[in-house]
Amino acid sequence: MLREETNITLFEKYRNNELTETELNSFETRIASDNLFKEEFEVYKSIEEGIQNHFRVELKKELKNIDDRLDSKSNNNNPLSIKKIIIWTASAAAILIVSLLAIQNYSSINYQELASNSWEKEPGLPVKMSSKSDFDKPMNAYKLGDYLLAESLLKKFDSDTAAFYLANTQYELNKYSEALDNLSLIEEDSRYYQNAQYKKALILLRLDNTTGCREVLKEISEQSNHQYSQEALSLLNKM
Amino acid sequence: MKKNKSNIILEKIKNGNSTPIYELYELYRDEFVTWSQSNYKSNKEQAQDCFQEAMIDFHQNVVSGKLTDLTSSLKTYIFQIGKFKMLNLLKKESRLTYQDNLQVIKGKEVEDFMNDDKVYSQEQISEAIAKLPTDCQKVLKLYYFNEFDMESIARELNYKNANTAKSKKSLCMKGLIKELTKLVKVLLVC
Repeated sequence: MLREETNITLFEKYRNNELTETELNSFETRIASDNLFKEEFEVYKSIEEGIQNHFRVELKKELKNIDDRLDSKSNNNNPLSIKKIIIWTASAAAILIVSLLAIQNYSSINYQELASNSWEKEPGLPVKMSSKSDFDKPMNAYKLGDYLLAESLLKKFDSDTAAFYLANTQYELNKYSEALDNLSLIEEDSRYYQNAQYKKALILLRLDNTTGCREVLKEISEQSNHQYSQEALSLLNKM
Repeated sequence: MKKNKSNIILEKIKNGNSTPIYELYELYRDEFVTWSQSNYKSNKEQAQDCFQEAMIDFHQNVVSGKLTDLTSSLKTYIFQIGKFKMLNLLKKESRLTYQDNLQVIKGKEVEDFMNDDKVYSQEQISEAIAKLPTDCQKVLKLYYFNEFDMESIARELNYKNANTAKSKKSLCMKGLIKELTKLVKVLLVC
């Protein structure tokens, strides 16, 4: 039995390697010569082992609880019918998923095709030899198909022209959401507004947002003086 | 370096999270039982017991830092321990010991042979732990079972620093010994 509290502190220090060299020598000498001290140390160690064991047993109990839960589940049901149900459910789910994916894939391909067939690539602003414009560099890049360069250059401008061509550039880079954001920046008084509106509808279609696309197209088609009212109506019919 | 799934699991266990142990047990238990029954003709209870022991040793190997990285899959590693557990069990049942494996795996077999002449029985130690305040039980668990250092214990239990955790652990250990002494006294009086 452990009688002296001072010994417990000493044992702890020994186990934690906290004794000085002198203390360690003294400890080991005492273990070798003092049977009672040695016995107490053995008891201390056995308690430590017992603590470890206790928590091992606790973990084992938890695992046994899992056994009970798993076994009671399987006992409550006929294993054969469960197996069948699982197979049937899995098969049905697989068929459903495949069908949905096929439908979704098929429809998205159609919409995407419709969008890209309706999309007209902007020719870009003219670059004149006689005069220099801030848009010369981005427009050259755009016309040459260097869309990454065009995008980085256009981002430096803050105008409806820049936003419109930036959106067109991003469309070519398949950055549809960013293109949509830029088209939304173009206000009603801009000369690009109507074109931007129609292109917004096409990008929404490209993104499979058919509801959003229909709304914009409807709005365009209802304005008889809108530059793209006929195109919008035709696209709505195709959808 | 990107961590793989196994290493993330090992890290969680090392940080004191037991959930991966339960999940792995649930995931592989039936497969181990089937494998064990067909390879060793064991019964379901034996196989489950061995697999539980394997999970506990796996946990211990992780928290003690013996297992930090896996070259095989987690399943292979745990099944390997389980296999030795099963061999030990079968050898034990035929009154033989399988000493070689005790060196490979940190097992409990040795303790079983040495558990006879102890001052305090395992039941008494468990009873005394149960009588300690919850925070003391936590400290002892983190120190002896999860093998946390004092800094980690302090962090886990919101103590001021490692010294506070050390004092607390010492206090809890003394509390436990007091409880044990009381239990033995009661036993002597009876």
